Amino acid sequence: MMAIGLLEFIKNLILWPPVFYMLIAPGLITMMILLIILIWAERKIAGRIQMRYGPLEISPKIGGAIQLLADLMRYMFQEIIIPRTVDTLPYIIAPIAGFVISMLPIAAIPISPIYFPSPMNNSIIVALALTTLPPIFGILAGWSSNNKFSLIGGARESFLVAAYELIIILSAIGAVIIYGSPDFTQAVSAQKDLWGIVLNPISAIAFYVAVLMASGRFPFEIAEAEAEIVMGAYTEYSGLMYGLSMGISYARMFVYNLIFTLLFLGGWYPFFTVPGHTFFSYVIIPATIVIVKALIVSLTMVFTRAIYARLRIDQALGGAWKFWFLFSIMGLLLGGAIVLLQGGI
Amino acid sequence: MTGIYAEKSVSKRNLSLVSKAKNHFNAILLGAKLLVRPLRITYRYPLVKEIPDEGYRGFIVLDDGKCIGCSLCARICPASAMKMFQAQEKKLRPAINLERCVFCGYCVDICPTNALKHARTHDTVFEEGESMLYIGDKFTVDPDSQLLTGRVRIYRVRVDERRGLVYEPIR
Repeated sequence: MMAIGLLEFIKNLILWPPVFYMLIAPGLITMMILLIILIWAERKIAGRIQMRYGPLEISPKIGGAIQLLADLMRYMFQEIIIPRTVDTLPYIIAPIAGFVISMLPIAAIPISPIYFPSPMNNSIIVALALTTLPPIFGILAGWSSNNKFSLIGGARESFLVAAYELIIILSAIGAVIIYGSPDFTQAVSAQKDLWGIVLNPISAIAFYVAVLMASGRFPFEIAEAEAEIVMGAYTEYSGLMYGLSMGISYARMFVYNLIFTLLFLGGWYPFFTVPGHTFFSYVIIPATIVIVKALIVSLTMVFTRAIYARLRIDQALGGAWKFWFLFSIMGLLLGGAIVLLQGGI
Repeated sequence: MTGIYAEKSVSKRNLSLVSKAKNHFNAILLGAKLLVRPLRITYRYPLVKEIPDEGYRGFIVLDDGKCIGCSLCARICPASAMKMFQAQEKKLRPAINLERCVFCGYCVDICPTNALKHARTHDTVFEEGESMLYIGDKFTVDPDSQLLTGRVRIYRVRVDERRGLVYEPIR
């Protein structure tokens, strides 16, 4: 009797929306699996396009798919070296807090029409606000490492933050004014017939490019440019701390793509239910649809590694301020025009 | 900045937005094309092996029946890799130390009875220095026979005008 009560308690705890969202989907466990898939896919796609094979040696039969697990094991057993000259407390905090906080926006991103992590009327604003936090820890890591490469990496990150945050928020507003609500659930239900990317393609493209810039994907992989400044702000890290710091940009990219999916790609539509299975039809199916859409967008983002060269910092900033900023304002105007045509306001 | 570099940088800066978008589109299209139909210029080395053409200077193999023990190979060897040893019945037979050998092929060229020849394989892993000394029966084993009967797939390399090196499976 006692054991059944305990099992019931554990089941209820896991299915409690905040715990389910942060731990299972789209939180920690899903994120780990997707990180493995994404990094493997990135290396494999780059290999195919650059006329070679990519990772293969670990498991030749499945194309080296568990290469990242082997890497993770290596990171776990590697010694974590903390140089004597670093500022120890911020040095240790930076990658851990950066990884945790890069997943924090999930607390405001619903992946189901009725099963929220936390009910709120302005979840888009909260989610976008939370996505702006992790770069601070990148800059902190660069500052505390006491290394010139780390410092340059942190400075480049801070330049880029100033460029891309505005584009992301302006293009998100360009979508939000069409839906008329800063709430993800209402924004998705407004896209039942027509996806946001069809309504406002300008904002969608600007958001996509700004996410490339925010998560350090390829034409904008400037803050951790391997050929120029070793590993950017994370040069001095080793072992598991390095593994965490490498995961931050992928986790951020996936969270941004969840937001992109909900704002522009119709969220959990096409939505369908299986009669008689409430949990299955209202949690598992919409979550799978959202996560698969976000995964496909992420795969197109890691695809850019193989076809683009790295821009210089001045080229990226010039492009962001002179072109993409104006482009996102055009998206805002297009959103306003659509609202006027619909007879709103 | 003068000459071709100056022209190049100016012409890149003057590209219109339409041609920039077109260049991006072309790059993405090329990437997608290579993603669907990869043109690989590498091969999965330990799983498959490349076999070179005839005349390749690989390991040196001794045909014991043809050898007359004249020691010319040991005299010509520029790296002192080849030495003569006393075999049974007081015959002299060469032995080779692959640690020293530079695969120049002088011994093969000078051999009056064609007792020495090049194999077509070149890659073997030795775990210790002593095993690199090929003496007696070990020197007469043709490594090609192991390669051709093994389970690895054999590739032959061909030069292609469009792709550069192409590896074609022959078995």
